[in-house]
Amino acid sequence: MKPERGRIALLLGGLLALSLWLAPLAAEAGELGMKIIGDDDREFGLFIAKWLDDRADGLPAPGFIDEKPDPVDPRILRSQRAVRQAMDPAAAAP
Amino acid sequence: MSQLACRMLAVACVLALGEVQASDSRLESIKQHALALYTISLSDKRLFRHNAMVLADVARDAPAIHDLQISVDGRPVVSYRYSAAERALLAAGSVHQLGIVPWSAGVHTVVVEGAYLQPQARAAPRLRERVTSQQLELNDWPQAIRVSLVRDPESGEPQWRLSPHADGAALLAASEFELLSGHPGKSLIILRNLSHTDPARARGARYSNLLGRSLSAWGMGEAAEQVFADLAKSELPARERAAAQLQAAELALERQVYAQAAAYLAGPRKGWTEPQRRAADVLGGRTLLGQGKLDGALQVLPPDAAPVWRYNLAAALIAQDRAAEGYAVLEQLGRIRPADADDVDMRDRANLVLGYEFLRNGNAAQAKAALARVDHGSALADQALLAQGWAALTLPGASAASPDDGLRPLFVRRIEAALGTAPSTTRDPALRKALKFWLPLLQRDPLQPVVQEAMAAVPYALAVGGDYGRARVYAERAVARLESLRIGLLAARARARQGSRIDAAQLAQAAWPPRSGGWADLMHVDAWWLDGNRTAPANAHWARLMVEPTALRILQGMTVLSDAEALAVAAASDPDLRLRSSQLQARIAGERQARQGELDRFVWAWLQAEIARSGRYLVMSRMVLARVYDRLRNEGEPQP
Repeated sequence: MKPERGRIALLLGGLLALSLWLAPLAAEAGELGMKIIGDDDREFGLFIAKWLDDRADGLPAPGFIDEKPDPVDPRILRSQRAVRQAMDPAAAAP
Repeated sequence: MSQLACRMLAVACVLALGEVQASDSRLESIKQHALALYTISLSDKRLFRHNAMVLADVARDAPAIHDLQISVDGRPVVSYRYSAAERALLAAGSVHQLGIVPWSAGVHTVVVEGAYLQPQARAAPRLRERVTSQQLELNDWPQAIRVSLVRDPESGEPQWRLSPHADGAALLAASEFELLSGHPGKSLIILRNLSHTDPARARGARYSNLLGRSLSAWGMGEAAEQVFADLAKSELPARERAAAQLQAAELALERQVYAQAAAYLAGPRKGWTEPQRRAADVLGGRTLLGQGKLDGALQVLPPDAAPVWRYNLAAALIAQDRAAEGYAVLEQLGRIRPADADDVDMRDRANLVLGYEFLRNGNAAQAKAALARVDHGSALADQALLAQGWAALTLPGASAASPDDGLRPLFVRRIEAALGTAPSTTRDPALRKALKFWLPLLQRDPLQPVVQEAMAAVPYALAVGGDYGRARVYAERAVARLESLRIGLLAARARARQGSRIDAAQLAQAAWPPRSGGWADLMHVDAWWLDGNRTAPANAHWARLMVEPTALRILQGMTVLSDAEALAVAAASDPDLRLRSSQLQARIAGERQARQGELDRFVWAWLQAEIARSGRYLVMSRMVLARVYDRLRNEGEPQP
């Protein structure tokens, strides 16, 4: 890495470290039992608000999980399989 | 606010990517320095003047070694216990380099104590012990003590045999032992020793092959590629050159240098075997896939080979709005006859994705068929159970969608719309079938997203079906369990913030590479969720965290740093190299800290995401419970 790029990376890294340092404080301040933060969660909050407002008979359904294909790296798959086997108590040597 | 958040996220992503690339290049530099330093120390031939290698092996007709302790002049120098995998390698003719021990000139008394597994007819093998003592003087170079478990030709009894010599063949076998045991750094060290002790053998094809594989496994892909590229141009027979060419192309693909990969694969394939030709086709298809030439990849990648790459091709097609072609590839994949664990994984993954796609289109019958093809013992079995429950709830004619709430997948809204209006004669059997898939999930670890969804889905479905009594029981249980989980996760996050963390260096040292069952004690968590009075224990999230690619990459990096440190320490035995070695060790210590910091940040962000998701399901379960209480109150039932 060139020295000037290194300095820029250091500066940006410092900013990131500062934001990471402040993030827990911000999260903690807003954490009153069920406070949910973040963009996606704001939508979830709207969903809750809508459900409370529309007084429909229907219940809220789960179903956030939706499987879409993402490219896989076979090396990571093998490592994950090895870790799962390592955690398996049935596979532990006597 | 939302735009600002997006920008911050983008900056964070760029920084994270930059950090990964920078840390990778630092690690690469450390590895190269460590190897260079160690090579210089060897070239001075000073390393072995006061040391001796200790090697162990087993004769073909001898039983398996269980453990081994060696002492020199009454001082213990080696103690080692073999795993089942290592015993299998030794039985296949490998040699284990147990270490390098201090050895001064003259005669010394070497005592070997060890146990071996005596096979018993119709019973588990019995542990037997043997002790051997011998006077040894090492006159050959490299200085080595070789301990072999052999059968005595007269009595037939196993016994230890000591010899003061190790040839190049033994070192090659020792290198292979380390590589196959998941220690490529150690394999490289042995190969470096060999290149100085037996230069003629170090010019052979087997040496180059082992060197290339070890460099690749140690994360030095470019150097490994060069080794195989040189091998491909050598005077070896056509088949061996073809194998080297394929390895070089594979490594170029891993580095995403597609033009170089294509160059390795170009040219005549005279003298290649049929499997080699097929492997070259797959590599060619992967090259086209990497270059984004999907039509070419579709033509070249054989339908019956390389399921991982066919799956990635399907993902690329779907991402480029060519869904019909992508799902057609997944249809083929979902019906393959798997040859290995990779294939099983890809078949299950394809069927799971297909199942959800069919559900989105309201095609329950095809969804059920695809999901039923997911193996019960696979890592995706729980995901399939959840989806099978949704498929069971999809009734014929379920086409009317409820108003779009912007979050739930279309198929869930369809199911909800259908169940809300269906007569009980069709609704109740569907509910029973769905519960058959979902109820087993409630016994599993609630940290799993699919278990959280099942916890919310079961009372939801029961309430839609009008069974408010059972809906209340399951909703109360879901709320209690998700609250316990949330308390545990918040405590884990607080601990992570206070610096009580997973020590990656220690974990890598003690438990990497992962051995079958080797992490069972470390990661063991009892089924705390079945006890209503307990919260998630401190290590409840480790098992899921440790399969995350980022955590795996950091652990692997820590292992490489340990190997590099061993090289730096070994090089420090040369007085001329002591200063450079201590500088390198300081760099390694700094890199360890950087990697630990990366892991700490990742763990914190991961816990944050887990808290957010489980929080959503907790809110949803509370809402279901509130609505159920409301309904029961209207029906006159007493409420808590």
